[in-house]
Amino acid sequence: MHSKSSRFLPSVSALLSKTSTAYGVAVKFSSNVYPDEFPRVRFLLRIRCWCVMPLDHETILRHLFAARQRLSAAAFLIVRDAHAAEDIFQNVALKSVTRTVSFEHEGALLSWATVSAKREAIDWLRKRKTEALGLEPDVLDLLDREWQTKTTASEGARMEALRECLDGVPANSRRLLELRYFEGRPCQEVAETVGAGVEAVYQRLSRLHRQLKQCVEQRLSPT
Amino acid sequence: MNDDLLIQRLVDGTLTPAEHAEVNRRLRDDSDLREHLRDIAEQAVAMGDMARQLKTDTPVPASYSPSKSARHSSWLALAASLMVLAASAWLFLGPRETPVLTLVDASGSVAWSHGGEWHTEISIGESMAAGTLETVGESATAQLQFRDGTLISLSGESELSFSEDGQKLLVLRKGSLSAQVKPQPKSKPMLVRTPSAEAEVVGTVFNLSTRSEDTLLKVDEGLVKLKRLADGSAIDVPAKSSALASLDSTLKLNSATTPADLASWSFDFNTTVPPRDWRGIWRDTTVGGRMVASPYVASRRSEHSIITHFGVSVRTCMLNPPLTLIATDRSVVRYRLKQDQLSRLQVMLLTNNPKGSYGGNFECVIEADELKPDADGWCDVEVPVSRFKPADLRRKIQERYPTAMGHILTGILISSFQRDTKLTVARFELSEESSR
Repeated sequence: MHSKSSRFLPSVSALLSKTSTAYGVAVKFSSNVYPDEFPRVRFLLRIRCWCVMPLDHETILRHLFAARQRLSAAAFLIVRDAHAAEDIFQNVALKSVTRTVSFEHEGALLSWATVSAKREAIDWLRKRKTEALGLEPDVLDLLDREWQTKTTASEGARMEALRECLDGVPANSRRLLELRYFEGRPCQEVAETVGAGVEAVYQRLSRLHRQLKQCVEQRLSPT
Repeated sequence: MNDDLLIQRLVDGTLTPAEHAEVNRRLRDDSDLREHLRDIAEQAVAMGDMARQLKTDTPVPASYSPSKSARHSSWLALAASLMVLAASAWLFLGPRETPVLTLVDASGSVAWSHGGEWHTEISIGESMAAGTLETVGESATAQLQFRDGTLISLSGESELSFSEDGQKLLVLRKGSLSAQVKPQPKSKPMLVRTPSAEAEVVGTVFNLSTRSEDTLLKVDEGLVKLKRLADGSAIDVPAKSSALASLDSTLKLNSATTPADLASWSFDFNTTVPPRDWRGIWRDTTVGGRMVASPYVASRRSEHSIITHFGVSVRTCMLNPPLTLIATDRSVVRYRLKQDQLSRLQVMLLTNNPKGSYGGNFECVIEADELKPDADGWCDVEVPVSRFKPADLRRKIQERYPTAMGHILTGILISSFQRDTKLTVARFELSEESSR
């Protein structure tokens, strides 16, 4: 991207611009560079130049699918519907390969995907006129940041572990999870189906989530 | 309430406003709680995956798997995803990229969603591919034209999805649309679907309004076939007739002659409970009924913020039977009203021209010092139609729609702008001056 500083050295910027067009070289100009004492030297010192080929579609999708669980889970926190969250991820993946804009690196792609998933999720809610209260934007941002920084084990490995843990859940608890997340039923309906109070369903689900987490951590621990 | 319960209620969408504030506060302060919520979200998504896997018996795309065989299947899944995505891209973006509608004119906020993105700055003359169009605000309008000259007008808070691939398909999810439809091929009529009905149009002028539980059709010219989705029953609605298709299939689906045009009409909240299509809060007091202003979206300031006004309004096309109110050069709008604090008021007339297409929005501002309250605070406000000026400040629009006179009033509203002055209306009247 060329900032306004490029106006001061038209020949250099024109040359670099041609270079960037011809060879896919991304040139970043620092916007606070103005010609004062040694304008040209300072300018050139501040030019950061690196060869970047835009990610191809296969690479884009590989990166996106590597972050799929996180992106879908982030969408889930907004829409509270696992199947809708998956649809949102699919839409984002579709957009990523049909957009005219390219991505230079994984970070740019995932930042774009995170924002897009969030927007899609909000649109989804808006279209369904859902009035349930959700998370504040700053809390969603906190969760996103931590998702990116605190996840240590590879996403695939964690999901594999989670699936194995789910296989080991007792039948009655599994039924609860199926009703809630497979069938996407609200807790009140789940409670009516299993013949329990809604508060009891909340407690059982909460306990199950914590047990699953513990199980996943045990499976992923090096011992 | 403990953390676990709050989090479960959050995920279940059953938080009260106080709990909502509390759970957000706790999440801001407690990183363990955030981690717990992230775990729940990941587990829910994983369980959704498993459900789909069981249902379709096809692998869910995975990112990475430590075992060789699983890695192989992951790559297969990726390849399959690529193929599905490529096919989807062709299906979704190929035919739909063709422009379907052109924005002829608009007032207020109009947004167009296409390819998963919302565009809130659409220029007049811009062509739009298949997507969803939304008008935001009580007085917002959008006039749109298909390539064959068929005109569509959206008004108020409306949402319309549209496409044309040999046949015009419209889905009106909420709000009202007026249409002047050019002759369509008999085998491929224009279809307008709402949550409760489907209208099949070969060439006609009509108005369709939808609410959550029914759809009101008013046909001015030609013939429209109206199908009730609840039971599949259908009727032909001829010119100058209207019909209501309800989700309640025990109600008879039939058409009735639209009442004659009226230049005078009144509504007394003192004695009559207003139908739901009056916007406001009706209160039954010991001295009679009152309509108190309620907040409504006046317009959108930016993508994420709106301007709220407080007012009382009616959309005549949504009344059953629909009213056709005509503004003449002698028309006067009258309100009997009071406010807790005297404040300037805005009266708006939303109009269609006599042919049924958009006729402009007109506004009159009544300054606070014009209001002369009696001992009980009630004011009788009279606004002759000649005082109404085009609400749109663009010169071209003002020239195109200079006056409301001779137009059909599709909506009338009074508001105290953004101030909630507890504007209370006891009576509304549209009449002609000589009738005083």
